[in-house]
Formats: sequence, structure tokens, C-alpha cells
Amino acid sequence: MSSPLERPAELSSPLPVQILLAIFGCFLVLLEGAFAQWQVFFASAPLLVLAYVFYMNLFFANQLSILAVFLIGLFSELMFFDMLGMSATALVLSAIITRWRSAVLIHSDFLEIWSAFSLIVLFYASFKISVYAIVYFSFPDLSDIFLQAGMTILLFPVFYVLLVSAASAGQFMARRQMDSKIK
Amino acid sequence: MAGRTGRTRATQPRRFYHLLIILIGFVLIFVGKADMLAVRTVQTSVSGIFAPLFDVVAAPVRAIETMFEGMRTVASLREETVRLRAENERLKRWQRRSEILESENRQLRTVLGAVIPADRQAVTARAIAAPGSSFLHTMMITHGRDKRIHRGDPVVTADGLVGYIIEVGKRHSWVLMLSDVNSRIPILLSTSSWPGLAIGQNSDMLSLSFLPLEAEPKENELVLTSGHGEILPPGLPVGRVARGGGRDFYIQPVVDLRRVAFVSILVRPQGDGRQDIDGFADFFTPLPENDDKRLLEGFSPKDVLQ
Repeated sequence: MSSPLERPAELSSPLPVQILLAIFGCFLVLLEGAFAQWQVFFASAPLLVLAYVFYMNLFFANQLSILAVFLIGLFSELMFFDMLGMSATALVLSAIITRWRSAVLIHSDFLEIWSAFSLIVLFYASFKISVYAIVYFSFPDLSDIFLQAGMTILLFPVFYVLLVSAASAGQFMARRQMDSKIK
Repeated sequence: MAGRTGRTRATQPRRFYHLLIILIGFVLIFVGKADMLAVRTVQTSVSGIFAPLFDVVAAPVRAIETMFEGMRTVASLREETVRLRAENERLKRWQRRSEILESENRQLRTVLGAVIPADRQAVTARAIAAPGSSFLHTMMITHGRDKRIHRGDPVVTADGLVGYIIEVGKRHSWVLMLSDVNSRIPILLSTSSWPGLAIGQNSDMLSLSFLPLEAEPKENELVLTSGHGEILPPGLPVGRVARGGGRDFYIQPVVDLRRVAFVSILVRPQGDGRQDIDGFADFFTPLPENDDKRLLEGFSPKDVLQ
């Protein structure tokens, strides 16, 4: 049996892509934080990370693992001094629900995907409100939360188009690479 | 049948793995609530490491907002000029009035012998992260231990109090804003001098609580820090009283927390003993265990007989 050093490198491993996509998720966390600096988005920045997690778990569930989703949520909490574990758990639960619904949604038209995303956003907000209420025995400003949820749902088509374009570009480049290898 | 059993067997470890991650999430919520030093240290370190990267990512987003702001300013330039002229006139009148009051104040001070405590120095910093959701009202600012910033230092703008420092990194610090649910500021009503507590609600308004029953706060009355607890200096403007229903009173912060770009941190000068709120633990005196022994201290029968 040959040693690991003598074996050829596994070029088709999905791990680099998975790591890259997780890093992109962390980048979106920073972008979401940057959007919060706009006066219009004060305390209600659109949930870019949730949209990303939803899209990835719907169409490329194998590329973004639940652990990666958890780590992205945790990064967001550590970076912005949020309540530890709240966003991470909410994101993980949203991802699991999306995966569970993906078999039906993957062949649906955009309107159905949009409405499913709206439900996920509402679930995400409700979960966070519930945890907050249990921990602090009070409710946060609900108008800001509704604004955030509404803004996220409203901007989802834009984000969806951007992600679909990025995914198409990625697939096109991968196909070209494969074609050149075959030649 | 065999295929179905095989699929069920394959999904079982995955289900367990998902449940484990959810469980870790809930454990983290309780660990975070316990406010452990290790957690806070990790949070400060992570945000400190990624703060420069965040600044780079946020720069173009900020630039876009500045561009929109510029366009809006140009559109409302004429209106703004008229408003500014009127404001300028009003300010001139106020300036004259303040000069008279200042002179009167100076004369009164010499009579009373009052001393202005010069125990603070201002450090200017830029706000680099604003609250992204309604669940937390904290703000990241430039400067940390490198500028002698400590936990508990008040953060102000020209209008009044923004909040106070809760975590200090090497070059970045975190500010707990007045509006955060964890914020408790001891206050005084400026005209009636009743003490109370301004409690954040994660919304635009603060709750005015722990007022004595006979207190009658007036609408729009200025609320100042009382200095109780010796963490915040007295006399910093916090907000103005707003009446709710019945005996409910609220405080509208004087600082527009949505528009905070630069802040001043009032640090203690070098060599000051009390530089961190942790240091105030020494001032905390728990109730004595055998309190009954001390109740009549100084009232011995011998003293009474004499």
C-alpha cells in the first residue's frame, strides 16, 4: 500500500468549495453589518446571511453543511456582540427546515420559493423573539423586527438573481475546465 | 423494503448530528447569558481581529450612503439655507442669553465655592459598527486600551450621553448604548431633582423607572445623569421626559442614536485609581451576616444610664 504522499492529490474533493462558500457566508455577515450603518437600516439591516443559507440549502445542500451554517451564525454573534447561540441556532433550524422542504420547492416557480422564504424569515424572527423573551422577560422593538423581516423579504428577488447568476457563472467555469481536461 | 430501511439507517446519524448542533446552540445561549469572562474575551478577540477587515468591507457601503446623502443635500439646499438662517438668528439670541447666564454662574460659583471636577479627558473615536438588529443596541468604536479606555467610561457626543464602554480590545471598544435592554443609567430630573433610573428597551425611547411616588415629571423636562454609583459623572444630558399613559414616563434620548458617527469617550486621566468598573467591586459592601448585633451599635445601656 502506498503512503499518502505517494498517492495522487484528490482534485475533485468538494471540501475547498465548501470552505470557500462558508467564507463567503462570513463575508456576507460583514456586509450585513456594513448595511446596518445606513440610517435607513438602523437596527433592521436586511438578513443577507439568511437569504444565502436558504438559497444554498435549497439548491446546493451538499455544498454548505449545517456545521458551516452554525459557524457562520456564531461568527456573526462574536463579531457584533450579539446574544451567543441565538442567531446560530435560528440559522441552523432555518437551514434544516429548508432542506426538509427542498424536495418540493426545488421544482417550484419563483413565487413559491419567495413565499417559502418569507415563511422562513418569519420563523427566524419568531424564534429570536421567543428566545429573547425567555432570556430577558421582555420584548424588543417589534416595529424594527418587522421592518427587518419586510426589508429582507422585499430584497430577496434581487439577492436571488445575484446568487443564481453567480451559481451559473461558477457552473459554466467548472464545465469549461472539465472540457479542457477531456480535450 | 431493504432500500427503505437502509435509507432510514443512513439518515439516523445525520439527524443525530443536526440535533447535536441545535443542542450546542441552546447551550451557547445559556453560556452567553451567564456572562462568562471567557466568552467576553473570545468575543472581544474575534471582533478585534476582524474589525480592520470589516472596516474595509464597510467602506464602499458607507461611500454609497454618503453619495445618497449628498444627493439629498443638494436637493434640499434652498430649503436648508432658509432654515439655517432662521436657526442662526435664534442661536445668536441664545448666545447672548448664555453669555449673561455664564457671567451670573461664574459669580455664583465664587459665592458657593463650587469646584468643577476636572477628572476626565475626552478621546474622540469613530463609530465603525452600528446595531444591525433590534435585539442588541451596541456599537463598535475605534480606540481601545491604546488610548487608556476602560470599561465603564461614558461615551458622549456634543448633545449628550450615548452610552458607556462595556468591552475594551487593543484598538477597538464596544459601547452599550442607552437604548439597549441591559442599560441602566441613574438619572436626575433637571428641574425637580427627583432621582430615577433610565432603562433601555431596545427601542427609540427609554423607560423612566424607580421614580418616587410623589415625583411629577414635566413633559419635555431635561434628564441628566445623577452620578450615583460613581461610574458615570453627574450632569450629562440623557434625554427629555415624554409622558406615556397614566404614571408611565419615558425618556427621548437627546442624542439621535441613529446618526452617531463620531463620539467622545470621557476617560479618567493617567494615575487615577478607579479606572475600570471591575474596580468598583471593592466599593460593594454585602449585608453583614449577624446584622442584629450591629443594630444597636452606639446605644449601650451604659451610655443611656450616663
